[in-house]
Amino acid sequence: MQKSVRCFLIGNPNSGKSSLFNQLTGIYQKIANYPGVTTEKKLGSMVLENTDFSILDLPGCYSLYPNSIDERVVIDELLSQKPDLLIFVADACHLHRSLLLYTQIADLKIPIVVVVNMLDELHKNGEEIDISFLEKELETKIIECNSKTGKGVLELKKYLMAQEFNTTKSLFGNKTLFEDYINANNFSYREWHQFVNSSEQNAIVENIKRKEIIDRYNKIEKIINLTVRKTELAFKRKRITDILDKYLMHPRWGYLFVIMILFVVFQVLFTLAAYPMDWLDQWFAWISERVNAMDTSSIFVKFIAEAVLPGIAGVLIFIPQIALLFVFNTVLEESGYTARMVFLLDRWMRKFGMSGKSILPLMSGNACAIPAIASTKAIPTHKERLITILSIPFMTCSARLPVYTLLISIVIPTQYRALSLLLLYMIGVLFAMLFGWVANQCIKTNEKSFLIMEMPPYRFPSFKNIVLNIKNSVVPFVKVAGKFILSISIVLWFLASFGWNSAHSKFEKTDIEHSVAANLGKTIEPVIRPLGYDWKIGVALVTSFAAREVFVSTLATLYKIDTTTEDETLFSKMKSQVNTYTGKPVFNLASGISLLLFYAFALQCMSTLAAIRKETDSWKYPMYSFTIMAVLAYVSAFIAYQLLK
Amino acid sequence: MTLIDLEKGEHGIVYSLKHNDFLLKLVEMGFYEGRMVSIEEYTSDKETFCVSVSDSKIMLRKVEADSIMVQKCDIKAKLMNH
Repeated sequence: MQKSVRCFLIGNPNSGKSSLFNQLTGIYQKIANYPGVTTEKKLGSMVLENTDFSILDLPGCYSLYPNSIDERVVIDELLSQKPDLLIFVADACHLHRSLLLYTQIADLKIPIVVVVNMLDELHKNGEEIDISFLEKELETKIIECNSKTGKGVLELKKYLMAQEFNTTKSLFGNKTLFEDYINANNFSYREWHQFVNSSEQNAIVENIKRKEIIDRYNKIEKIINLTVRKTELAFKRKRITDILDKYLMHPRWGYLFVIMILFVVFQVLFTLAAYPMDWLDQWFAWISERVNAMDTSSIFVKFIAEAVLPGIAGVLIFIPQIALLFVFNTVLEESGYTARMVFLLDRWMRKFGMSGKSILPLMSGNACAIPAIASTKAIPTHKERLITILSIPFMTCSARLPVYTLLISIVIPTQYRALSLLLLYMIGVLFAMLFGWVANQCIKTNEKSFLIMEMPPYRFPSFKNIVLNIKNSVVPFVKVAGKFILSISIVLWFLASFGWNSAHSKFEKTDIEHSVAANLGKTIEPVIRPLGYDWKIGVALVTSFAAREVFVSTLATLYKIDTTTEDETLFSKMKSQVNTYTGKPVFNLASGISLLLFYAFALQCMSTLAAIRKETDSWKYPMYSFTIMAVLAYVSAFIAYQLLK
Repeated sequence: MTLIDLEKGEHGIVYSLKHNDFLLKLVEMGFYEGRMVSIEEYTSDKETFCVSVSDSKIMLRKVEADSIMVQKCDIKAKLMNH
């Protein structure tokens, strides 16, 4: 029978726990050079010599006294469960602070193995750690490791296989600090935490906690002085981080760099991705033509050419742009630049009811709102967290990108396309801030907000992580959105190809104008006509209610059915459509901008609504969000069309 | 004086912390009596600070920096004495 061992992975934020978790379990847990990326526990496992090791990756924390929801997860897990072993990841460059948490955990009397990570970085800074001396001082097993490259992982696995786990010595002897307050003898450190966790906090308890931490730091200081040695290089070498920070965090130049970096990102995002997107579009048009030419009378062939192929194209065509977006997101996070943005933008964010810590969730919202909403757990105050959660849906997620790209390519002249995309992203940011400002005025609280955050050093982004991040964003997009888009495309093809023939009293193959889809679209047309849309766009708005990206595949299916020239691409077909009421092209500047604004605001994503519900524990907030954004979408689209038509 | 009174590149030694809601967090990050701190950078209106303490750079808001009482010190003289 297989034996099982339960391990917890624990350490300070940004110490490399998730990298080690990935190395051990083979699962990909998102990593970045930013404190507080892991906000939820994640379970993985590995089998070593007939033993099943379950590994729980916990969010990072600095001590066992939590300041935010993600930090609370750690102490809750430690008090509610007793793992067989704690794998403690210590950042070699910040050993002082790592050991604070270590000494607290050691006092919980749980067996620990210490993994000293990032030693290469420490050596580059001209410092050395006497590991064997530290091992003796802490009386625990220490393994040197580089969780990025995997160095030391084998040794850790060997240690785990030996299964000789022992509790380590206590480094904090001042138990009377707690016992005097509790008025109890033989009070264990675990019991103290149980007491603190279950009782009201007061000034005396806060004072005890502070004294405890200082006492621990004083002991650690002595160990550090005997263990860490600075070489000549440490005094001479000007760190790259310091040189870069001189410019990137400069009170004036810093902001200029933020704008420049964002501009370059969007310029590249639009221009570079256009090539593979055009190839894919033309390739699918060519395949479609070949399939249709096989047998023009066969309904099955028509189904493949008009429903399945446009559906698949609607998914695949946007992969280059989504992949590029994730490359930039990963590079910014991994390099450590995101933390600099927090520094520069915190004072502005506060005016909008948020904090600098809202930057990462908001930026992640540019990729996908669902993980972005989950990552708000690192924001310590309730009000700032709530405002951030409700502002995230305004950010331009990757699902909006296909809609924007398609519409911009049709209605905006070539030279203004990248700028238009940037403007749409700016609108997202602007309205996220505006919403935050209004919410800040409405939500009253006595809770004190603070920003005490470690600034990570600059690091060169790992190519492997960039590739893994792309894989982990593109594959789910293709799987989830793909299934969804493909099934809607198929259902839509039937609705747009068949209609009720009252003369024969039966459903039969008909032209698109008399189909079920046309009847549905024409029913809602009076509501959307003031926005400049025809019934086909109306159908696309309805089908994309659950997920925005369905808009493109819906139009692809509808226009594929309603076409005479088979080899036309979606772009050319959309350009040639004429609005029967106005006699103008359906997709002109006025209706195009109206649609772009509609999609910039409308919260057409069921998963985002579910994520808001989960994180706020209430249906009230997703309903508020949906209603406010729907009204904004309709009003802005109406104004844009009426002014530009 | 408090941390906000120090200029960029200046060093100080923490001698006291004002009582506030984030006192424990400050101590956790290494701001406690006797620690040397230095100002790395601040935004134009001194609303956000980047402070060096225990080999790390910590971001603080003005209100947090203002709760850290420091005694200004000349790092060069200190190093020479050392």
